[in-house]
Amino acid sequence: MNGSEGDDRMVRKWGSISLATTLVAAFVMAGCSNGNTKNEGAASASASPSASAPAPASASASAPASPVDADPLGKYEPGIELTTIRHTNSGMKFLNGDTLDDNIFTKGYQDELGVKVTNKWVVDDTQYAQKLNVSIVSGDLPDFFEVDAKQFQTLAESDSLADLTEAYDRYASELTKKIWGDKSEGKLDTAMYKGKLMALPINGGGLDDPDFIWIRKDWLDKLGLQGPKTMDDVMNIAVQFAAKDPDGNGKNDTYGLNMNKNIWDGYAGITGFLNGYGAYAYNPTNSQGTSTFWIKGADGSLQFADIQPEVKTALGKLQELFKQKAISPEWATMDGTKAAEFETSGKVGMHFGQFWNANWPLQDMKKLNPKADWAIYPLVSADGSAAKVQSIGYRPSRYIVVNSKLKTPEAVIKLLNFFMEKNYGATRDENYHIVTQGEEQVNTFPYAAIIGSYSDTNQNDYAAVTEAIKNGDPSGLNPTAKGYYDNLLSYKSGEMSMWWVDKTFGRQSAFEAMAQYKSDMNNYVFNEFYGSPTATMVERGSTLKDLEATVFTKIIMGAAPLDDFDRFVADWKSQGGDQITQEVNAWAQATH
Amino acid sequence: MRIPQRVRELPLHLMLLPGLLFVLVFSYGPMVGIAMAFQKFSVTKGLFGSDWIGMDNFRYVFSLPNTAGVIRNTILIAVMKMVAGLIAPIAMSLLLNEVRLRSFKRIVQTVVYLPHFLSWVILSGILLDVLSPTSGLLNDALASVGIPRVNFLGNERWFPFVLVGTDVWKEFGFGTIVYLAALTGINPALYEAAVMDGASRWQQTLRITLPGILPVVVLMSTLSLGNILNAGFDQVFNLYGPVVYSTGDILDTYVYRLGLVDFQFGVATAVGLFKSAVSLLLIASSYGLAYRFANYRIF
Amino acid sequence: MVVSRTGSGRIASFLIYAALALIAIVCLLPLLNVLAVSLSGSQYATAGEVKLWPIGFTLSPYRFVIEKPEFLRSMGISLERVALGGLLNLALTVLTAYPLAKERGQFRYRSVYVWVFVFTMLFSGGLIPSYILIKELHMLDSIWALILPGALPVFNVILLLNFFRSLPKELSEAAHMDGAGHWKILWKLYVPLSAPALATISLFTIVGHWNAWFDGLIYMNSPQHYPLSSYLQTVIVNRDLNSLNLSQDMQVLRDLSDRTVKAAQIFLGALPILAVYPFLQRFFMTGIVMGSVKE
Repeated sequence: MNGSEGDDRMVRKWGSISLATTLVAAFVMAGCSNGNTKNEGAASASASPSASAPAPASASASAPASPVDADPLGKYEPGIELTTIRHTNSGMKFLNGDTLDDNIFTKGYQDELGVKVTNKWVVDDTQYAQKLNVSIVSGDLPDFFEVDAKQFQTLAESDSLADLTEAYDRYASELTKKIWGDKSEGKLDTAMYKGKLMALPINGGGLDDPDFIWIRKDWLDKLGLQGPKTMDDVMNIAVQFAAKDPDGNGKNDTYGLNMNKNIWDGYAGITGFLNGYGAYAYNPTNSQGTSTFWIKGADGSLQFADIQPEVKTALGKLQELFKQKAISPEWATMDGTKAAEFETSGKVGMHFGQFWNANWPLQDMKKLNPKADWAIYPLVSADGSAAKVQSIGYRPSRYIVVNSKLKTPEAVIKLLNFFMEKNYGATRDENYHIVTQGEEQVNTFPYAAIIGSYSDTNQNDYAAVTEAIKNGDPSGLNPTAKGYYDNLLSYKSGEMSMWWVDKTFGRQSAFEAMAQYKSDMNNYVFNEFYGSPTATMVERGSTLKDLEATVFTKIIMGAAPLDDFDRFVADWKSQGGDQITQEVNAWAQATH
Repeated sequence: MRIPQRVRELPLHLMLLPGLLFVLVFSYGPMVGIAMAFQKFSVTKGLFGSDWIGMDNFRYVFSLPNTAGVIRNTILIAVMKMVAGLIAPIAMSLLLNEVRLRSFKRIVQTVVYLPHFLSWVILSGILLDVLSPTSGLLNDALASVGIPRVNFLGNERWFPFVLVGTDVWKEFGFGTIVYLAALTGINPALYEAAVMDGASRWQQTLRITLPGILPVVVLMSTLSLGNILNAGFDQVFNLYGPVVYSTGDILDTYVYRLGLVDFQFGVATAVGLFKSAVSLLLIASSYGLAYRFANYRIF
Repeated sequence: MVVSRTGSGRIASFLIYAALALIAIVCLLPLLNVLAVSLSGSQYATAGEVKLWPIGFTLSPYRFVIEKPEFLRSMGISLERVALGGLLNLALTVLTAYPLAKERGQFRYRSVYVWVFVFTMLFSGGLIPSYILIKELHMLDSIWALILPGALPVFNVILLLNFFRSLPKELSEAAHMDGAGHWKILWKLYVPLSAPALATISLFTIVGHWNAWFDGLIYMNSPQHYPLSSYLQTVIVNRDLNSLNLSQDMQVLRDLSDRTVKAAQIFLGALPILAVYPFLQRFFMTGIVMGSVKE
């Protein structure tokens, strides 16, 4: 209709929304001084380096087991240049005058490694996938860059990536190898293509992303209810919250269970509810139906989690709650943000969600209604035994890849070594991690072109903080944990804006419940399929995903009978699902 | 002295030259990319090296089970929007034309075009509130006169009409601008003559105003035909969910979810080409019809 | 349009005024809501309590926005874009519409040209070839990448050529007789007479440039070069709450879900364009006084 015609057309084709961004990770760093920071690390695990991480592998990283010529931190003489691309967001804070193009890491790379790293472009997180796709297809690639699993697959298939097998063997420092593991095991597994190491996974391995049950404690108390021990308790609490006017305003305007239309979200999704019934479905609404979840069946073969009978049971229970008006009739039209507003305004008393839910959105509620209190419970099962929880982020989903045209792929390994050394190594330097600038603590480690990570940082910080509080001695804490420690103290002295730190790291917090999960790896259910999406998945995945989303939504809303689930299973199988199952099992056989 | 037509036309060619250059470079240049519709596009082989696969991309899209329903939704919603989006601004312009209080006219004119400037991301949030079955303004109003509450956004039957209604509301004000400009072109002498003849206001509207803006109406309807397969990605994307896929899913959202945003550029281009071809067909035939039967050249 | 003195006329008038007033109110509400939210305390806004009147009045969202370097910088870029792009669009539209408004007898290749232009409204090469072209022309990260590709808005050309055609033929014929050339007729006759049409297409052009956001995200290499709409897009877009892929800072989410700041940015972002309208509106009100032209 006007000058933006061309844009409109592109928009239609490309959609206007973001790539799937996660909240799981990074939130923890933001806590240091209530959000002056940005963390680009791994999903489901903080990228934050931590003093409580394992001690450096060796006194010096320059004592390689590899041939003499391969110095993991050797300087290039004369220097070389590498190009990359970056994503950022408005939460990223910089020291005075620094930018993503010029900061302590770019200087360090230049001075100590002889590598000049330049950014071909920088873009907001939400637009990264799209802009990268354009770059890939236009053949406009930098020397090394971050990709998702699908981009990794496409690039590997088209021979655009450098083989890192040898470079990693020879140049990865011991510290790096200790954390990344050997090629043959651990997360490097997922970065292999045709037996060669083609990428460096930068996330995965984390155990922090299962759901918890978040319940309005003040409502429980008001109605004289106990915290849930079984899923029946959960059902009962939800129904009571809806029926018994827990907010005492005399109106029948409250609901028991909060849900949002993207049912696999880490906030107000259904994952935790399903886990309670031993169901492990996962197929995010705004993806292409290629990130699916597979479990091992009784016969040892891999099976699609979303078509198991346990899923039907759980959906039936949700339908029951909906019919009893314990779930808002509007849930299927509310996205996560809207559902959050619904909850923080005091309309609903329970949801399933991940550990960061205290920081967002629940912290917002403290401003509105300081009396609202939330309790966090580990997932419960139908029969009262410990529920097995689902971790999706255990498998890596983000990778650093190297352009096959680059003559010096080992330089990228060196950048990684450099990060590891400065953050965890013998020559550890706090300037590469967190710097205090005036009142603010500024994270500098996200400036790094490649960020290495430990998985268990949050949990370690929780343990350290708990210990320090018990002893009243914070002297052993790393800067991040010290931040939480200070925040906890200020919360206890009445600083309500630090309420979320208490709910995340304090007593009866998310990480206390998480420790319970982590006490036994058997508590976890992981995705048994971590190969590239199969051919039929790519071709039929999104159609099957739509089918699933529609059927599940309608069943929960009571717009379709529960037995439609059986028809869905049959449809799924006949419309390509059987083929996908075969392909997945063929992969399993080839891998194991 | 007779100047040859070629020479007389020369300045006209010269005037077109700059525009033509821009179009050739920036519009026709990239059109080589349409070739992707017939390729199995490969990232490394690029546009000139990818394998040719004929109509396979089209066949793939049309073989998907939901495609027929999605195209039906798209056309239904787009046609309703086209019709409503034509009538509402015209009616509004005619109403405004009857207003003689200049300040009132000016204020109304300024206000009605405001919703155009709010994006669907924002409006969807507001609409969710307004249309909410439990606490929404509209449903409260309905309930107060005894009409049962409707879950407008979560109901398959209602959803397409909600799309049309909200789209008209957002765009009709902005749409009046063209017609208001056309109204100023009507010779006031015609009205004076009509009043002399004792014509009523309604008669004046029918006999003078409407015929006066008819060319613009025909023009706008023809151009809107180009949108026959554009049912509004941003709007639908921000308002829909799985529960209304069966009636609310349109070609663009469908293609978006198919994952064509990633690397299946061949398929994505094929869908785009299909849309363009249908639009061209419709516009060309309405151009032909207008020319043949009304001897009127639309553009 | 002469005042009718009959009773029924008065009732009709009243109904028209009432209907228009109602319509105007319905159109005003969402913007009022955004404004009210932007002036409210964030806790009330988040709770969805703010409707049309601010609760817990505060200007701090505006202070926050104004102090953000990104906001003002990108607004500057948008203003530059509108000025440069708007002028170029307008000049090219006028130049192109004039020859195409001629009848076939006067300009033999008219139909060919028209279809060459119309074709570009319907077919496009898509994102990738366009991106490669911009890259090869070394226009990435330059404001010209936002201006030149859409330099000729064909839709506007068609509107304007129709307006040109509706001008009385006798005028240009008379001018021809007096020995005026095409250029003179265009600038001295057509342009002054087409004020409402030019106002219309100027408005379309300005709004188009102001609202366009996708090209900014794709063609610019750093957020420092985003026009305002591209920047706002990164602010208002709904981020997925899916535990996948990229990490996302909680603080960003909290900033973004701060409805008041969002609303303040949206309001400030729309303000310049809303301010332009009253100036152009004059032209929609006046119109051509045919009688005086004919003499």
